[in-house]
Amino acid sequence: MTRADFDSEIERGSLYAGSPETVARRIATTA
Amino acid sequence: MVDEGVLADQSGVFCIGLGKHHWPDFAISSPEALLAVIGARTKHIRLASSVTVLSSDDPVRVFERFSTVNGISNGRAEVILGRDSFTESFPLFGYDLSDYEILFDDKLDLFAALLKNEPVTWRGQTRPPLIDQRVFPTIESGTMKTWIGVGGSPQSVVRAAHYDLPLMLAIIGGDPNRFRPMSISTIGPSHNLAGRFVKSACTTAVSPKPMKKHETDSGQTIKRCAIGLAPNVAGRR
Repeated sequence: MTRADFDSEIERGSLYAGSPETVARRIATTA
Repeated sequence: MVDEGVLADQSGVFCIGLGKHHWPDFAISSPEALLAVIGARTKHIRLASSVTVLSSDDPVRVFERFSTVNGISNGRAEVILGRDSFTESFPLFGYDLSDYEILFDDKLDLFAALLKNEPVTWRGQTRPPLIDQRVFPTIESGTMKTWIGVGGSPQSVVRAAHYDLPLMLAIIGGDPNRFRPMSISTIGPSHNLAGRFVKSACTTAVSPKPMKKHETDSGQTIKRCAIGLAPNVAGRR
């Protein structure tokens, strides 16, 4: 994990929480 | 990890939750083993998984492991049951990912029965039935604190309400208000759960806002905050 990834999680929340469907939805939203 | 747990206890942290994965850069694949060691070296801190992937585990074995931790720690074990964001445990333990939903639903049903701390007769779809089966060690205090981990699926709230289990919200950074749609007042009416009360707490690793007390839109209070540790053996976190 890079510093930028860490800072992003603080601001927007981790992408990797919840079911695989939830994770996929978050990744799609932030892409 | 053990030393961090001891330090957390000495610092007054209420609860420590250990995650698990089964890949090279993650230190923990068996959190209950570490929780048992931490439990033997501490006096107050609650000892939780964050989370136990019940879908790719066996409910009887999960109960046995955590009831052992519970005994070692004088009743401080807590189980947070979840379905997992990642999928590596499914092929590793011989499960088909296409059974993702039924595995959790079925095994949660059995685990809820085991929590009654009485002989269990149970029949499901994903494992052999149990007939008047006792599971050991039993829980001295009668039951064991068990949560449903929620990462963003409303269905998880419905499950928790169905089994009268509290929610553990995975607020890992970001604005906790994004979990507002998870409240029972929002979900309840469409699932015949109007008026039900679901206790909630949150687990957080990083957050830009104070997390100790948040009111939900149904007037419930998120009572406490746990520290979820997701240790990386390469030390990159």
